[in-house]
Amino acid sequence: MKTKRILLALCSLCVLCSCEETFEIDSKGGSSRLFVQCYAGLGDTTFVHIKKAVPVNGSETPGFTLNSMELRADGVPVELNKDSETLYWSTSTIAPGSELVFEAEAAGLPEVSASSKIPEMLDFHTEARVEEYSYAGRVLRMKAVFDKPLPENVYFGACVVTHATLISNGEVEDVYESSIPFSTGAVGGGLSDMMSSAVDINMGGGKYVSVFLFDTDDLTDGSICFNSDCMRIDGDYSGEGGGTAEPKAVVESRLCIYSFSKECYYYFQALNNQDRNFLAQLGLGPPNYSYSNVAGGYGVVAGLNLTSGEWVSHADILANNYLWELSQNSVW
Amino acid sequence: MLSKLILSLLFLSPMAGKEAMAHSDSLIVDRKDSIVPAFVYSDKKIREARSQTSLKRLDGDKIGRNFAVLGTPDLVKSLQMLPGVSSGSELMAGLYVRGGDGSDNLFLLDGVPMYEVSHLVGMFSSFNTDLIDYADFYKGGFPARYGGKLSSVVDVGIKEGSFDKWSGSASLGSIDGRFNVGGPLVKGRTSLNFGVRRTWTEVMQGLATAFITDDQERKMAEAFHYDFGDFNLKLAHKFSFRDKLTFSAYYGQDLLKAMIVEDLEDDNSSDIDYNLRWGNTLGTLRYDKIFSETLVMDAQLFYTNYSSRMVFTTESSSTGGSEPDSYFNLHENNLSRVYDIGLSANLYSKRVEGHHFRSGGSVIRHTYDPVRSEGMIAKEDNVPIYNTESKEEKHYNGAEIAAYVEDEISIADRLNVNVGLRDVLYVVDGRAYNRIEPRLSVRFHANELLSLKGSFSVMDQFTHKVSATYIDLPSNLWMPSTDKVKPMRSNQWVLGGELELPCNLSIDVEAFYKTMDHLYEYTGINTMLPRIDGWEEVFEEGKGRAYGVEISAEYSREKFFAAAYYTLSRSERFFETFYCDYFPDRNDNLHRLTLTASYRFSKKFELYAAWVYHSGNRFTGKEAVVPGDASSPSYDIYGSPNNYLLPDYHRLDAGLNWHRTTRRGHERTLTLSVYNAYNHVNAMFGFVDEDDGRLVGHSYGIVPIIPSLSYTYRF
Repeated sequence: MKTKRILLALCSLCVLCSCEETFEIDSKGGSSRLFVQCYAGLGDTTFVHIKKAVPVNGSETPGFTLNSMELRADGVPVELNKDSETLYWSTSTIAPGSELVFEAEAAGLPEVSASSKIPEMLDFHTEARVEEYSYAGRVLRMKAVFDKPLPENVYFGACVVTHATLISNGEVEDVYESSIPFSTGAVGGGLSDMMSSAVDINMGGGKYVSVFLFDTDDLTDGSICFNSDCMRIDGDYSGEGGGTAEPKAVVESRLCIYSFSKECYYYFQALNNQDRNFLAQLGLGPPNYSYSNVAGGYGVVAGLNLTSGEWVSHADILANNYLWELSQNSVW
Repeated sequence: MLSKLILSLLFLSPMAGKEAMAHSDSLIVDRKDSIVPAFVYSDKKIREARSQTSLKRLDGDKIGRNFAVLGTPDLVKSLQMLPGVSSGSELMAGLYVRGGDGSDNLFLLDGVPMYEVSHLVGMFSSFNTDLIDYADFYKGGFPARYGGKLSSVVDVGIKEGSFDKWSGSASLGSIDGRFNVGGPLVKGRTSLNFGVRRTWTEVMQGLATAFITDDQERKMAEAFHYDFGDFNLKLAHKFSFRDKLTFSAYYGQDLLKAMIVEDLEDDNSSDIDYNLRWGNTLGTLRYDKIFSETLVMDAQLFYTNYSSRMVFTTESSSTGGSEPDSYFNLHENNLSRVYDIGLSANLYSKRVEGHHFRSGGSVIRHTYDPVRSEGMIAKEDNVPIYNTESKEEKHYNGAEIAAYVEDEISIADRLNVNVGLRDVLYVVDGRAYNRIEPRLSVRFHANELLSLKGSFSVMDQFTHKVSATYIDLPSNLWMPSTDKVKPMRSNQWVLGGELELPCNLSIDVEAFYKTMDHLYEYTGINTMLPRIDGWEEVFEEGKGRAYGVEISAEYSREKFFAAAYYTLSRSERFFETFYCDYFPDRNDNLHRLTLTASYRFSKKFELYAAWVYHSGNRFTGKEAVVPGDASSPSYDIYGSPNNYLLPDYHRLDAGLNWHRTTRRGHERTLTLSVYNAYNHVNAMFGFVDEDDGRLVGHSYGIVPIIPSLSYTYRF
């Protein structure tokens, strides 16, 4: 009987152990600072998002009053148009190689400043083909081939933009344009690579571009290949009745290459890392981190440069017999 | 007698002579049947009291009597108690020495490097404590004969079998059993020592499976299998009084099998099989030669291999439905292998008065050979519709050529200086790295009680652990330094003093400062399988520094031993892409304190207790947020990595040994041990949350009190 009681007491000790504990933190969290996302020299529009980052302890509100803000390229102010309290844009052309300087000041918050450089454009041409698999249907493969060898330490991102016009009874029913999100990514050489490099870039006005990040070391024979599985060609582009009827949809895709300043690349890489680093929370993997080149604040002032490839019509490449039947193990 | 003679010849200075004589009795008793090791052993023992800093020698028998988690004493867990060492996650065999990252410790088993030293994902180390003769643990002031890792050297010697009589032991712990036997094959000439250890978890698993009623769950439970085991063998042969040949071998392996079964419907099924096997194989042939009483040589040929094989198979099929019959099979095979073949030689000379000269070198061929392959088959109505195979592999051959010289100089009775130089040439993948590593240790004997000491050492590491996690997984790879990933380097300075009081109390104080360059942190995707092709691309280069003070106080009497080890230290990292400044390392424990005591009440009972305390480990949490709106999403802002502290860690371990002696003179020991005796569940990970305008942390832990029982029979 006595032995039984002792055993029971020992078991109870094991079972009753508390697994969760609440404890005091030795830090008050961060301080309120300006948060800047400035993507300049895109080849079309420059965007500046400016907000207030608040400490994670919830002690402050996100509202703020911006007293001044200036973006200069090679010392010349860039005219920024206000879209909202937190979003500004400019269509001024900023030449590659320009030195960017950004400064802003808001009431009650530390002044911020940052600098960057507009990178050179990366010229390339596109190769595209369709493969057909009995299990997966038709898929589009695209490849960016750079016209000149890229020097060391060039940072860039690539994405596929797809444009679709849906037609019904001879009328344009709807038009879509999107950067294919590739939820798990889809670039060169396997799932691991894909997952490691995708990041969604907010270009303002609700426009996002899903971009894969690269540096020169990622190139294979001077090119980047977008693998197949992500770009299924569903639907009939050649029209009903053997192609004589009106097409139901016109779908085009093109490759876009963003060259990045170094700061830009590091910033996106950090965002990308935050998205997928679930082991960090458990302390079982490398830590989450944020990158910033904004002195006194958070975020990034980055130079980008966009080169867009030619549109590739899905129907055209089908019609031109770029078709591989049961293409197994075909790798660009 | 001859040992005494050698000792007295070796240590000519009056003061050193005193120390030598103070130790000499036990040395001769310990090693009476092995002349050559006695020479080396005594040299090491005395060195500890001379110029060497940051060295702790653990006696094999003492490790075996230390506290045992689940009834199994463990070398690495004993080392974790020492000052300057962080243990990382609870129960794991982590060894983070003076700011090190855990993969930078040189483990030598009879002089042979061992790449991975853990079983059961880090819970137990690979060393069978029944067979350990000694373990020399260097945290700094590394003698020039050691090199290849940044942070520590754990030099483990396996016991030789007796040349006179047979003896052995058998033990049964809560999860494993151990057996070892040693003795003369040819009396006075050849000895054997053999030990084996294996888990017996299958028995417990079988019992647990008997209670499962669900067929599917029972099938999975029956398919689950885990075991680890290792075996050591040491053969020694004395050709003459001056020549000895020793063969030593080790083989250790973990095996894990599991299956996930999904019986979806009657004619549909899906199975996932896991088959993981990993471990070390080591072998060495060593020749010791005494040329004269002042000139000794040893030469060693060795082989070391670490390999892991992981096979994952997914199989599903569907038959008899309205759709065509289908079959799908995905087969993944991961093999990671690193192996070295090496030759080393050392020469010890005491021919010049006041100098103890050592020199030597080694030539090692390294092979790194990870392969990952994947095959996929899909069929419809038995017709193949998809059949692919892919392979990712990397193959490196490297050569490491090292030479060293080292001189222990005694100056004017009071000053001992060990000055050394090591030169390493590492060639891999068409790239050569030459590294020169100066070493210096100085000890000044202020008087018979007090000595002051200092050291400086440079270490380089040419192999890198490629791991996407901080867990000791079999999927981790070892890769060499290449063009892009440079050899890591550390510089360490140590200053301290040692006080030997007549009341059996010794106090040792050391302050250290250490810098580490070319450290690498993984930045690739969250995965258990780090990429092989282009592995260098997913690492960020950074640096680290660590500094602190360590205090050891030990009190020893015949029946009672007590020690207190305290460390006040900082460990920091700098990775440019992570943060703009130095940030705390995850194992940056500002305070560490270990109190340990053992008392032998009588011939029958022995009690052991240890209380361990340290400041909490660190974790990373966001420090600010950017609220989202119509034009952009919300963002989390992370500041310094490892910016939050988990609650302080503390636990008490206790153990009781009950010895009985049989009529034949054999000893039986029953050990009752309790890990975490007062059941304080220590935090293993945490996160922060906001509560009414202030930050609150939440932590989680899973390790409660763990009682265990073991039985040992020595014959």
